[in-house]
Amino acid sequence: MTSEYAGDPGAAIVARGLGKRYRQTWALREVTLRLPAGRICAVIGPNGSGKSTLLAMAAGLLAPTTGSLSLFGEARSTSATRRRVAYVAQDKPLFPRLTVAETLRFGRELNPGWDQAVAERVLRDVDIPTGARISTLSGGQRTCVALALALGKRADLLLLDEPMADQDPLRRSRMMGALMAEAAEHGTTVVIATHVLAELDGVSDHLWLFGAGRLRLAGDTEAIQSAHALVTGARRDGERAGDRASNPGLPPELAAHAVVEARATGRQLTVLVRPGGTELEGEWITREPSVEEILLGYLRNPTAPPLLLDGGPTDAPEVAA
Amino acid sequence: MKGLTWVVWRQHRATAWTVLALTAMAACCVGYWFHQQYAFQQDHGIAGCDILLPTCHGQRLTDGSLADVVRVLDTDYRDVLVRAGYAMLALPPLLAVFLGAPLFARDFESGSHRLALTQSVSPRRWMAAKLAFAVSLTLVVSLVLTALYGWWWHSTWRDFGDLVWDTPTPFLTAGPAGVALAMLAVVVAAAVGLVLRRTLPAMVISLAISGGMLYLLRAWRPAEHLWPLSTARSTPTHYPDLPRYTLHERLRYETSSGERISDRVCPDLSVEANLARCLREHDVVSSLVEYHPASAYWPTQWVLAGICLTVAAALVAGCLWWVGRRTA
Repeated sequence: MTSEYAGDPGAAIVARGLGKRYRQTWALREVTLRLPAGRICAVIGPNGSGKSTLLAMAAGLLAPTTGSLSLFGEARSTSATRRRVAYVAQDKPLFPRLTVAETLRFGRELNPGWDQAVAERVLRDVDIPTGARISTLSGGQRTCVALALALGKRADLLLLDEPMADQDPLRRSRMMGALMAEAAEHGTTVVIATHVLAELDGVSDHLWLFGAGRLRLAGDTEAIQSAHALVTGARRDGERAGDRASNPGLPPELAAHAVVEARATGRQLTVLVRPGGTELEGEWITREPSVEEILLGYLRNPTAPPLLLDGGPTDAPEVAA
Repeated sequence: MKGLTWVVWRQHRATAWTVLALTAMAACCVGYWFHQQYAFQQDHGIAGCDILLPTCHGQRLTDGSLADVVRVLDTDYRDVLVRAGYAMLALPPLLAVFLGAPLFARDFESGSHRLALTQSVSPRRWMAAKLAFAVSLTLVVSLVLTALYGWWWHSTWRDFGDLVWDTPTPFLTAGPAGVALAMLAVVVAAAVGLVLRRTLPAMVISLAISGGMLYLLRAWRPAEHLWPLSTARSTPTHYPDLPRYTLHERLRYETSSGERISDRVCPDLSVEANLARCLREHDVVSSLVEYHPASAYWPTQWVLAGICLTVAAALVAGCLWWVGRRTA
């Protein structure tokens, strides 16, 4: 069992054909991905797209139905990986009757690598009194305590499920700052699931986009960006742009490229494409799209062809894009 | 305290203190009644008298003031002893509902199990620590109460003459079987909570299961089945002499070939000569009574305790195996 995970310790997460089924429905299907250690990875997707399932499986809370998942070259939920992974669940579970200080002691008693100073610094940054009971804290404050607990564990891989969802902007930026400072200082790999795209702008350098339980975009953020082009031009008569399913009305010179999404505004046509080999002819203005524009393009058009640049484990067959 | 021990204690200490406080109160009640009865018997000079016998310390029990004293003992104090025993029967269900059922169900219901299971300790160790806590608390509580009540019961039950030892109390309240039953009830309730993952349904189902166990044990009378019966012999027409406080007596006849036959082969023969002739015709050489002497109480207790603890241990092993498999 363990031998198949050996050999890729440089990858924080490697998934191969990973799937999870709850009774009749698949929460996650055929996910193959690889996250190099030290990356900050954004996991994007609508609710129910499989983000939380992936994180819970990596955290050792769920067993996969199909495929395999390894962390730092080892099978998940072994005693070694348990120490190296910290997880903050979406609903930020804590023990309501414990005080903040007791919650930190909980972390200290159960984790040999515990760093009390880090956890206390995080809580000081956001003014949470350590004597307060968890049940008296607001949702946002509880999230901070959960993050402090995860950071205090001094894990190599942080799995954070919607960590900033209930934070006010000030606390959000402070928590994000603390998180990134810790990650930079210790080379921690961070995986953050979110549906707030702006939250991770300029912070993440890796990207996974999920839709309906499948991986639709995966790879280095820059590589994804450079693989796309935003093309703007005048719409010609008789063309019906915006038919996202098949884009039949698109100009023929675009047909050679993989079209993610086409939108018409008045007489102007804006098309997000993954350029093929050939140069684009005609009067088109081409520029590199922002990450947010790419993500919105894929989110608006669920039938856009997936782009998977992670490649998975080196010996696995390349997944067709 | 350190590590998991501290974590489990901190999470459940309110329950633990409540249970220990209630136990102390119950122990005080039992101790108080025990002392009251003992003092009453001492004060009136009837300690060690069997009130079913006609005499006590040379006086006839039907005479005068001594008879009144004995009547008070038989009504008031006998009731307290028996009712306290029935209250003691509530111990396994109470511990199951308030200690066993919420042990895992509350964590799963609130989602806090995900916090515990993503720290550096393995799920198996986490579960083992919680079970160890619940089982040790149960052991302390049931040991204290059972030992105290057992001391009272065993020191006085013969005074009342008509009390038997295989009824639910004292059989499940005054010996090791009671302690083992409480531990089994708690482990079953914890497993139910683990499966149902909801506190209230787990409490209801655990109550039903532990109540059902008591009912079945009452109906099945474990004392009769868990230890071989003793036998006493006599001549065909004489009933063998038996010690007092025996149970489950059954008269059989033994033929010259050693075969044991039913006592119904010669029914309703009140004239001894006719009975003797009938028995001779059936080739009966001796009458024989199978019975449980009062001394069978302890071995049957230990056998039942052993069964309960074996089932509980198997269930604990099953829970640990299951949690390891679910997350691996």
